Amino acid sequence: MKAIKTVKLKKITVNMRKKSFLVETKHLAYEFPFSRLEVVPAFEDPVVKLKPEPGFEGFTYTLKSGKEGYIIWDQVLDYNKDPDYEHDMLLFELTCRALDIIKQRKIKKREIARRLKTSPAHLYRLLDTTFYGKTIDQMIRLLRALDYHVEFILKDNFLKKAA
Amino acid sequence: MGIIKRGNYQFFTWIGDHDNHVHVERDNRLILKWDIEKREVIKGCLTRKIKKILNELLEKELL
Repeated sequence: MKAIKTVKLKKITVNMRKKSFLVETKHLAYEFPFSRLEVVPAFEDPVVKLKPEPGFEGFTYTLKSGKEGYIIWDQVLDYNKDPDYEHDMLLFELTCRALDIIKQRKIKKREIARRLKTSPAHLYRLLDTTFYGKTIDQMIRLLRALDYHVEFILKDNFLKKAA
Repeated sequence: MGIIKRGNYQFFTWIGDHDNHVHVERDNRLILKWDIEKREVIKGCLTRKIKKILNELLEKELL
């Protein structure tokens, strides 16, 4: 079975004052707060062991009390709103939506390919949720061919943080 | 959220801003990322065996 290419975590540090983990890779460094964890470290129960896990692209941590928790790299990307991760998730959501519409309306895929003026093979690639080589523009064209239009909502994170 | 071990696979669930996801690993290799709510593959390959285990876990409300 083919494995998914994973990111190597270079350095993980615990900042008890900030109550967060700092996770570093070759190019990125992101913080992840304790408030997002299920097993929360405290001053009386600090992290005593950190172990990177190549298997699930993350790391496990052990507290003084013996409790164990884990953090997945995608969790860190999701919390920090990493642009590449957000891009992939947007593509995934648009693909899922297109698949739902096709299922609901029972439109033939050959008909959609004809509307898009493209080959069926290309359409199947667009409808593959695991394929991220497509662009958002291509997905908008696909949804347009299904008589849908895409609207983007911009949210101001600065105002949210200030409040 | 938690680690579930079934049939030589390990399932790691996590809740994000988008949806709830599950990562599947075997022999220290990540083989699948799956969206629990949409029931679609995000990355990797969904085999018949993993699909069966995921359906069982969903039935038991463990995911």
